[in-house]
Amino acid sequence: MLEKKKPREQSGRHSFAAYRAQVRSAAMASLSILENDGIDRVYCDLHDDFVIRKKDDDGFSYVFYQVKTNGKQNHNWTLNELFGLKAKTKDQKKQCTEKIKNSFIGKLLLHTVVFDNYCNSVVFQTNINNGDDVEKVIEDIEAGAFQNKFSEVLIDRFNKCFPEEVSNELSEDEIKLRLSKLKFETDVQYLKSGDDNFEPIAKNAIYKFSEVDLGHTETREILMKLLELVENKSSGVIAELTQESIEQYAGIAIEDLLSILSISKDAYNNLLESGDSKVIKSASIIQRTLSSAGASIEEVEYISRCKTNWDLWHRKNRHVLFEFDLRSINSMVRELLNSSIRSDGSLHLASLRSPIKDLVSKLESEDLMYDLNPELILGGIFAELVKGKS
Amino acid sequence: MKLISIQIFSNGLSGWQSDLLKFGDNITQLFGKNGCGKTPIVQSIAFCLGYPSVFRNDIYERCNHATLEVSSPIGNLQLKRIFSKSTDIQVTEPNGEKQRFYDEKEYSAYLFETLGLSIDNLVTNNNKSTSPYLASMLPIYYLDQDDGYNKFYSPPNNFIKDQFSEMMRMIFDLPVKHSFDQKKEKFKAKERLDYLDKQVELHSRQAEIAKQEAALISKSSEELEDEISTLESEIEQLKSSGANHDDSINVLDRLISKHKASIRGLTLEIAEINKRTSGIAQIVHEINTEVETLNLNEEARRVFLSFNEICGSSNCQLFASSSDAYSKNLLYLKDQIKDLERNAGIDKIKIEQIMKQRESLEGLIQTIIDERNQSLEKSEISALVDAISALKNQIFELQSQKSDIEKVELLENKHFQTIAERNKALEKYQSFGTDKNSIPALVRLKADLREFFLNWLEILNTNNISRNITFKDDFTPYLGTETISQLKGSTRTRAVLAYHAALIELMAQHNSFCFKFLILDTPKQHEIHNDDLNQYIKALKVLCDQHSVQVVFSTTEYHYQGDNQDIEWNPKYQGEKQLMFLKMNDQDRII
Repeated sequence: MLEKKKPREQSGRHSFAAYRAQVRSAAMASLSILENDGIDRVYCDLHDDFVIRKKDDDGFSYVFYQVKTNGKQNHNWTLNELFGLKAKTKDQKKQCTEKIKNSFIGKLLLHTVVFDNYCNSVVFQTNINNGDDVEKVIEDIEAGAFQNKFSEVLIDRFNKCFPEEVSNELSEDEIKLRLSKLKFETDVQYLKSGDDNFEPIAKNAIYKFSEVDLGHTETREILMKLLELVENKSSGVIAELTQESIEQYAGIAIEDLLSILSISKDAYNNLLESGDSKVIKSASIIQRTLSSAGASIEEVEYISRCKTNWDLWHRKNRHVLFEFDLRSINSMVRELLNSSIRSDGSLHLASLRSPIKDLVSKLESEDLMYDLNPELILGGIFAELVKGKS
Repeated sequence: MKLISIQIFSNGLSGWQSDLLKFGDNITQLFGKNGCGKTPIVQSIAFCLGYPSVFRNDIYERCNHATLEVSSPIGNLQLKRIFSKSTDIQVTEPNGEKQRFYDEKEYSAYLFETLGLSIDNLVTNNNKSTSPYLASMLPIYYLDQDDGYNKFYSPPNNFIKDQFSEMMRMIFDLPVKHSFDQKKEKFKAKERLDYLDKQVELHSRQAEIAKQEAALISKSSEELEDEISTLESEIEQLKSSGANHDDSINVLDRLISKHKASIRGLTLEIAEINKRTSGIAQIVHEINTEVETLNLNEEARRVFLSFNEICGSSNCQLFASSSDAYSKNLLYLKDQIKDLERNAGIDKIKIEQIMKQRESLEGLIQTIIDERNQSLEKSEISALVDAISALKNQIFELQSQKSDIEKVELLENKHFQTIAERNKALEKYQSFGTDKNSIPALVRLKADLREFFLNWLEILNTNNISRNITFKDDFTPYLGTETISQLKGSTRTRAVLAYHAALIELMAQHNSFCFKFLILDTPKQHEIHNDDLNQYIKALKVLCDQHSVQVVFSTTEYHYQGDNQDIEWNPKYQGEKQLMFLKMNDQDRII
């Protein structure tokens, strides 16, 4: 029966889809943090759909993103929809300031006034294209000509649009500077409904910044975690606006990303310093750690064999031994590791000998030795080291 | 540098002079009443070493010069300095060559160089270029009667920027704090670092290649050496005992059985590795199952979260830890696989190598067997020749293996040395960076110094000083929040004494001395209890014993009982009122 009647409205469904698009776009933006070329934070649903922070020599500046999707793929944005300008009006004086102010672009331009120098640019991001009129205005502004009649209207009305925010009337050059911060990203593939290519693009980035060869399901799980992160950072009202609360509730930083990606901090830094990604994907953490300290391949092999044996032992015994016992053993091994790491972060094999002996006698006295031996404990120490690094 | 002897020579017939005074191996004590001439003698030691000591006028009038004999890396030196307010020093080197200095700077440079210290261009307080002086170094080793006990470091002049720190850095061979040629030096340091980086890379590759070549050889050079000598003795035996046919055959048999034994060993090893490899596949499978479980867990978590009944709150932390851990657990598991796969690869190469080795051994055995079979039919002499030549072949083989192994060892040593050198170069380069104070070696020194200082304060029974010691300008201690100038009387003296003993101990610990002595001119200036001073000197004696350091001190009341490593100097010559250290030149003739 339901299908027989057209629903009165579907705006709820539409805004849900729009929200999903916004989350995906913010997720893509946060992946660009990984590239480390200036973008260091993404703030979700704060001041605009999302804001990215850029870091350069002059300090921080912000890029404000407005994401608008349109369900109708063959639609082009019109001047009226974007700027609140009537295209057909002969007398430009009749354009309505209020409409300009409340248009999508009007709201974006407000950031250029409020955040002034800190506003790097304002971006209108969409899944469809702009109409010809709109394209002409954009070309005119981008070229810095400001000859188009609609550009002239924008300049003319600029001060009037933001009477409260503009303390002193802006000069024409100042207005031009602000208008030129306006950018458009149209026909963005990962915003398309249905057949979007969000997953492949995002998966590619995740794979690129992964330390291990990921399978299909694994990449998907990580991608879902990324979206989950963005959603978490987009929801909930931030009661008190402070730098800390914004970072905590809305900001996504590199630490957040690294904690959900399958990459260790070391490997990430190594990748950034133009390390070979193939090496990172094939060399294990132990190998990289030890080789960088000048260990020979024999040493690496020996230690990783010890670690494998420990892993096996651990896997076999995790359901056999009392959990309390197992956890005690783990924590003792971890303690040993922490006390053996030197202040500069290095670990010396030779200096592990006597602590391991001590630990063995301690385990024996507490009836925790089971079938452990010093080699297994050595493996355990390195297992903890790897865990700490990952 | 250690002290050997000192003598003061008179000026003219009515001048004053001293005997040849020999320093003790450990402790030298000048014991005598007030005004008996201890101070001029102690002062003369530093004076000969270039310290601008100021004497009483009668010394300038009645004494001509002092001669100090010291040991140095190039042999014993005689340092002769004329008593005058200007510099006039003559050094007699062990080969009899004499050098004369009229300038403190040149003399300082000469002595530092002789002692093997590197001299860098430093910066004065006015940002001019300067170099280190003996006068700025000696206050670490020599405490002047009055000024010496006022501060931790009290030089006659404080003209070098961060003078104390620079001197300490010089002693411990650390990069200078303020280098005059900073930019140039930095550039040079960088160049050197780059060069050494490349060297390290090169040596590591060379060592790696040599190792690969020698991979087939499983014995160390000593073991090979042993084997060679056994074989050689066997040849000797064959030669000397006039061996018969059977002996020769026996030798060949022994060779064969030895090779067979090693083949058995190799076969066992291959079996072992094969077993391991088959195990690896099993483990990888297990890990993959684990990964699957992990994925399922994650999926299950998501399903659970979609039921609002479990928890409606959007900020629910119920699954937080497992969710955060997903990718890290995944990473850990996959990392295991990487290790396993790499090890399997290494094993595969190893098996190939062992196979090759086994094959060549098998070939060798075959030829020896053939030889033996032939020898059975041959005459006694030719059998003997065959046996010997087989042995010789074996020796030759072993020797070439040995030389391969030795090459590897040599290259590895070289590699190790370059790494050590590179780390030092890196430290030097880093010292030009903005964070000059955090050179690891410097931090280590400070930590040690702090410990020693606390220990010495304890020995001197100093209770009223904060044990919270920090350092300002690298080495100048802060006692809690107090500086040395806030301390008074004996507390200050104790702090200074403890600090200098700690410095000497630090140098001993790190085996970097400029001078191997500590000269204390009358340490009992203030009311320090004799027991405490005795404790201190005794503790110093232990240090002297262990690290062959010399301590020289003068005293009026406190008397230290030494052993045969120690020496006590007493005034012997009758003066107007009391016995004196210095005698009139003409006294000899009168007596």
